Amino acid sequence: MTKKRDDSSEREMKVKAGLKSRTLKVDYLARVEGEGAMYIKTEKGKVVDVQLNIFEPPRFFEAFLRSRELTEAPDITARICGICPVAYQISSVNAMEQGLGIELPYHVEKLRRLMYCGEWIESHTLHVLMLHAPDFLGCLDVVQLTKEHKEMVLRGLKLKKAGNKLIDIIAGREIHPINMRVGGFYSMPSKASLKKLIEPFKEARDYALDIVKWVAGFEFPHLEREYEFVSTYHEEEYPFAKGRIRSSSGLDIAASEYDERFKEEHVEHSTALHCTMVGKGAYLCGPMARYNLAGHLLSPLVQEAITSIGFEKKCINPFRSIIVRALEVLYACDEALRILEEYDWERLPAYQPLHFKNVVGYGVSEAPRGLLYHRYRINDKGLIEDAKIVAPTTQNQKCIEEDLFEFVSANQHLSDEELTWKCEQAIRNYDPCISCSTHFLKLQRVCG
Amino acid sequence: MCLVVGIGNRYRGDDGAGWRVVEALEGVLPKGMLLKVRGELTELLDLLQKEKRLFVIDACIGEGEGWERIDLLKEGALLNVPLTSTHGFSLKEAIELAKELGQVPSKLMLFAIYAKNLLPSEGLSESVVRSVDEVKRALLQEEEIQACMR
Repeated sequence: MTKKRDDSSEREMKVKAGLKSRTLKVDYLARVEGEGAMYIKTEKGKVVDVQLNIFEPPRFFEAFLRSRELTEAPDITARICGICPVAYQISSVNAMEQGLGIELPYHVEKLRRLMYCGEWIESHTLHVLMLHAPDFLGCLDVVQLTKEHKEMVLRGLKLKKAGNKLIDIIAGREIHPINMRVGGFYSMPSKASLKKLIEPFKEARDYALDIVKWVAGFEFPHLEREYEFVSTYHEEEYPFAKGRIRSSSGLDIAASEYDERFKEEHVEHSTALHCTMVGKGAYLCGPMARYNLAGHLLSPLVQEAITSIGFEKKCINPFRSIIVRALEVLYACDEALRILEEYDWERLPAYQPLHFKNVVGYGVSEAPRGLLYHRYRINDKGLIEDAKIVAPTTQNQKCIEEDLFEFVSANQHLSDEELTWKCEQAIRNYDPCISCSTHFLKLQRVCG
Repeated sequence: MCLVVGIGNRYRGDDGAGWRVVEALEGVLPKGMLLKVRGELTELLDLLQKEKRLFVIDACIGEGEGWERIDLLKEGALLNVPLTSTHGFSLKEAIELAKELGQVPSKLMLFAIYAKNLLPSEGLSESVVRSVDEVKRALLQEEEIQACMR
């Protein structure tokens, strides 16, 4: 596993062996989106503290949404993330539409779902192939991975391009799409432009199945935990853009009840907020939560793939989330194809008129990384008075720390180098999206 | 045909240098020769695959001053390229990946401009503004670009 690592850190560790305090630094962890540090303290061979410290600079999006027109929210919030802008757009319009009492017609709902498929394909494929797979195959990065698994990387790139193209056609551009609006879309894409995607998507679906089979063959570190899974849920369809919030312990609430059941809190060691579920503590959202809570809603093709690879119906090993992501890519391709084949709505109304009122709107949807919550207080002039946005990575942060605690506790026998690698891998299980800039992780292990 | 590509993000300080060079060339070079991109991986890979001759301008982090002209197809060139990325995957990684995939252009010249500030902000540092002007003039001296202008 570690054969391809530079051995300089190993040499340094040998020199320091036997000292009470050891410090490891891993500069530029290149496969996590954002900036973070990790602190691990052991006493008499037992882990007593694990802290994942995320240095997420304040971005003030919630503050500068105030006094803006509510119609601007989808375009402003899309700027929060270059990887999942569709999620931000959809959660924001869901909140506004819930507040204004807008019921979406079938064709608008389906077009949004189609757009979300594009984003999941883009985002998950990037993570599975470029960021996470190298961990399992002992490669430092995707360039090394390409030397040994070129065909899979090519499949991944083609898949990602298919996702990009879908968003480009529906929403004007691949990154930070612009066609979505409160009440619908600015315009419906032409039938011809979408029908052209059917053949490429059939090919993409085949590639996705290949990738499912490929990742299912990886070796997975052992870590199993009974998580509190949280995701949106709608009885008719696998979670994307509508439904209530459900959890594995039986929570079943509307988005408007989110603030009563989930809390954000400051912790001393991190500038980012930690989320907990009232009465439960840490919870997990994202692919594993969706799979465990709504896996039965995946399409027959995906169910067939699950059976063919012998994948468990209940997945509680976070390292195996890479398989779930690959299955979700397969599902997104399959679902996209169904909608593409059905699409005949270019002449239908793209949006509904808005009638402003003083109200609070609540919206949730399933970003690739998990539940994305938006809340807006709006007024009868159509202005935003207050906004709250809770991203999936914030919600998963406490869960990541608990995973690290468990994993480090059970793997004290590993060298610092091996443990560092596995801990980074454990963090990447969550595909954390902290910011879109520099990547940095420091591991500090203090042994008492 | 050759393509002049500015990579960057105008809202991250000097990372907007690549775009600024391209903007400075608007009206001087034909529109079809100029492109501004964010640096998304598949976007870069597409460019590397489709275009025969590429002149790329990107901000970089390093000890150097001003700017450097680097032939990225020269053996070992990538080892010393002081590029990092505010774009997820860097140009360097995209080129390494393109090489592994056998998708590289016949000419790939990088104009790397040393950044002073990459914090979220608008506008360029003073030294980067000077570099932008110098890189613009240097590009116009490139033989292939001159040929395209004729």
